[in-house]
Amino acid sequence: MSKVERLEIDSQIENLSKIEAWIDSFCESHFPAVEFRHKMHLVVEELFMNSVMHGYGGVRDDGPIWLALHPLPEGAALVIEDDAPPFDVLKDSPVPDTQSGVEERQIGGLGIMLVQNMADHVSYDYDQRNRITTVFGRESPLDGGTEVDAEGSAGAAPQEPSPLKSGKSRQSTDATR
Amino acid sequence: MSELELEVFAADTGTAIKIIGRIDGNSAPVLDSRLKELDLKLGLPVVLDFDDVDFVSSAGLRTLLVLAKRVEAEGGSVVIARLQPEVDEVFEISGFKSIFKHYPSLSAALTENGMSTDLCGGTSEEEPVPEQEGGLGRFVSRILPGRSGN
Repeated sequence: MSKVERLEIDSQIENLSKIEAWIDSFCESHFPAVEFRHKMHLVVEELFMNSVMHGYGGVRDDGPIWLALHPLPEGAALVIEDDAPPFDVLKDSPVPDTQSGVEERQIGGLGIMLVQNMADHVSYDYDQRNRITTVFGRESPLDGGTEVDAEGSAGAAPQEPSPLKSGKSRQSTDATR
Repeated sequence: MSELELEVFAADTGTAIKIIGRIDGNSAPVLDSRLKELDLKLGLPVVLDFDDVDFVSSAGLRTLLVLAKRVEAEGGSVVIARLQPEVDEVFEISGFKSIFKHYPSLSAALTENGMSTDLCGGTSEEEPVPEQEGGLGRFVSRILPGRSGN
């Protein structure tokens, strides 16, 4: 029931609808109250688009993108990874312009800002893949600095209900670096 | 699905466009090109009715900004009506509420920008009335996602 759901998908914008369906299916089984659904949709879209358009430069349509949804006792964690050159979206994205008038307004960085506003926790780390971890519904997700196990290997999902909470996920990169 | 539909109502006083669907990375580029194809009177108000839009991502915001830059360059303005709560939050966070006039009701968005509420055939109760002096036009165009990325 608290199984980690995984989706590996190519860097094509058209795949957004598959991701939407995947999120909906997860939410239906875990959050009938649709509490987080809109936020998760927005966050996953922004991060996916970021990988497609920036990570893979908008030119590569076969760049792998790995998604994982981890049910948590009070919410969920969404992890997205890609194989693009290392880029810390949290530190190195442009600062969005939310003040200027129409004429001068630029839109860069808005997607990441939306992610940071919609998720309760966002972190980036790199270990052979860019990995962005977002958590919905918990203020302090990683008690003790545990990280989400986002490895895509089949059958590797730990049995514990919450990979975040257990504090003993395998092999770790510091997710909050 | 993420099919997007536009209903466009044009009058001498401005244009109203009802958007139906979600404006995401898939549909935004198509909406963008569709809006460019429209023969908008750029010097006049363009009212966008968001009553049936339940999702807007930053890709959608970009499309709106592109439209606004084009319209305002000619002295017109883009006006937003009936933001749904979740979309409203996205507008709020991104600072888009400060660049668009926005109204909770469509009739206010129309009348306060010099347009008749008849433009959209009545905002809710009334049946569409294709009356009007001076060429009230209406057409519906459907936008399918997926054409954007070829």
